[in-house]
Amino acid sequence: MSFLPEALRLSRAPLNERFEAATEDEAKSVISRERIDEHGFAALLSPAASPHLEAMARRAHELTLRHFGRTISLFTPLYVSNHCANHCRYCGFAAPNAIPRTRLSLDEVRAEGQAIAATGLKHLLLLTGEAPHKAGVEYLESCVRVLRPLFPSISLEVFPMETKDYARLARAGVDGLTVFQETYDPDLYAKLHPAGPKRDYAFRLDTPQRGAEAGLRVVNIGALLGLTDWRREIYATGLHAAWLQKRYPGVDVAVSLPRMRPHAGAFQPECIVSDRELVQAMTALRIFLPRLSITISTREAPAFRDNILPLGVTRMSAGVSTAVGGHAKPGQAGQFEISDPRSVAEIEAMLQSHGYQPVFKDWEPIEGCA
Amino acid sequence: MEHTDFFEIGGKRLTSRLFTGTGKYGSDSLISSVCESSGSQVITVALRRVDLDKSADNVMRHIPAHMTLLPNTSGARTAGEAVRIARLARAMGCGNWIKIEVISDNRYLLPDGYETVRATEILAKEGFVVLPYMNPDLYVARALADAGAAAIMPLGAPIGTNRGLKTEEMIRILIEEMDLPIIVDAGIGTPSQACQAMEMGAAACLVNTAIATASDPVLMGRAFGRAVAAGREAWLAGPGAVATLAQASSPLTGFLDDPGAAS
Amino acid sequence: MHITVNGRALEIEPGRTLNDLIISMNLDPSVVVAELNHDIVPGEKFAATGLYAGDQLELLSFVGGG
Repeated sequence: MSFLPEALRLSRAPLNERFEAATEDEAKSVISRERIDEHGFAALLSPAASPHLEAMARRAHELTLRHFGRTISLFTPLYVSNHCANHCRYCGFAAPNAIPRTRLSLDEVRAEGQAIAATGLKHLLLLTGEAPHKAGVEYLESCVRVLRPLFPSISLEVFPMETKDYARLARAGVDGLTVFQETYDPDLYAKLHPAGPKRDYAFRLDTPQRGAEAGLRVVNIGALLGLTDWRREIYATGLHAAWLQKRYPGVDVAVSLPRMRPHAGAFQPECIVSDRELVQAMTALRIFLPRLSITISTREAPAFRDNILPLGVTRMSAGVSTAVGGHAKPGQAGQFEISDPRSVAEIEAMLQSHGYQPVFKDWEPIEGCA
Repeated sequence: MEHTDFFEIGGKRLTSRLFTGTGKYGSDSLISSVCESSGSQVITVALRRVDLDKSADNVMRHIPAHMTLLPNTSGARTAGEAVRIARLARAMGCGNWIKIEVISDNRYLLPDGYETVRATEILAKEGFVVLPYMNPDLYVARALADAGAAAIMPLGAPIGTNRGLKTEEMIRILIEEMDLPIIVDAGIGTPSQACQAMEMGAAACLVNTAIATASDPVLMGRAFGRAVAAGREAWLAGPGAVATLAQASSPLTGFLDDPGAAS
Repeated sequence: MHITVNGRALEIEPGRTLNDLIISMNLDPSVVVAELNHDIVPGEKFAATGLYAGDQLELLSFVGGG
């Protein structure tokens, strides 16, 4: 069982025609529906829904309040290695980039963890590039053992592994997994990942379900917005999330909406997703999947993050550094430019001033039961 | 108008989504007229020991030949008894459909989920088209699906109470979560309640008591047939927009129009 | 000889078949299903099924039900 056949079907389907064919009346009627199917989801993503964004926002807000209340979970990434064998054309850590490569020693990992823990954060996202011989399962397991006393919840955003490896890391204290498909279009995927183990589209696509099979509690998926038509990507992401929710009802399925910005680097996004479009994507996802967790990273600017709080967001990163060792020693080159440099305390204060409770910890496995 | 919405189940292609029963009629001779007036194509029967003292009228005489027979396992208190009744029913030579009904509580007549799952597993392996009657519980529904059920038949209210869709929210969850057809069985007292179940997305309704005990069962059968068809069409049509939400004084998306805030 | 039919003791002549018995009870064999000593006997074998002393027989038919 795999989402692959569905993903391939979507990549060949005339989705653009479906988006263009949706009417305003159709979009309006879908917004107020208690449950919507994939056709309704397509209507919400269509250009015809755009004039009704305020109604979508209200619906998304109402559903988010109903299912999540006024709470936002906070986490931060911890980069432990930037060694990478992949050639992702959009990534600062790609193998051909001549940047200093490091892997933190366990003492350095502990120092980073302590610096983060001092801010009050309890949920950690552990990141590496894809270089299993440099920073593989065994290294990650050691990192988790060092970090676990500091953080009740640890998620991985590393490289796709086999189910048995996830099970091993789950035993060490990992409870979540983030893996972005980047693009659901297999042809574009092949172009953007010309070399390295990441070329394997199908193995990456099946990663969230391997994590779920291994007993992880949270799987976070996403498409990198800007690589191609965002409507198709969000549509595929939503269907992938729905597929996972259906098959793994005990797993918390989350979606991130990482948006690329035009920047001075070599890789320019193929298309720029506007604020308005990102809001449409997020509210459509919320209305389609009311129980979906939605993660917004510090790629987004402070004012925008504050404004979209009521529209479906359930998790945010705070106090972020995307550099290896960047918490203990700031000022190094990161994986991508962040737009929201606010500290954990600043984000906490912002949430409270908007009437939201920042949640630092909502999980801790009881030892021996994980 | 050509019929295009078919309910495919157990190798049959049904045009009517109303299942009826043969219990509780003042006279069994009404059954064939009810089949006709309601348009129903599936009908339930029970299996009982023959009464050796008086030769009773046989219910089969009143069931039109085109009807698909859905024997139930009423009387079974355990999975083993349900399996035994199902095998006997199949030996009657009237097809391989079976409605599993395992009840050991005679006060409330609520089905036993654990025994029902066990019976479903055994009978599905033996090639039966298994339609289990159940309390609308998502975990039991999933277990029934894994066990090989062809559809799930949650109760709307306890058997024979005619109290309507008391379990509406639970049935809604089954409809949303399960890939199998959901057939609402038991409790439906009026055509409007059957219509409501169909509007919610139920695949079919099974109605016996409310028709059989009406003053005019033939007329009530027709009313149920129409109500089920109307509810189905409403479901297929998709609901219209509920009154547009009032525009609040401070819109949630106002920041998108403010050039200072947008990037 | 004695057999038990639907829980009731019955005296029948030796050598009779299941089909003979069903007809003697004014039942239509086509709407009856039989379980002899806990084994189902298909309708087409009624005529070939002999009855013996001590047999436990269940005869069932469809009745009204929901």
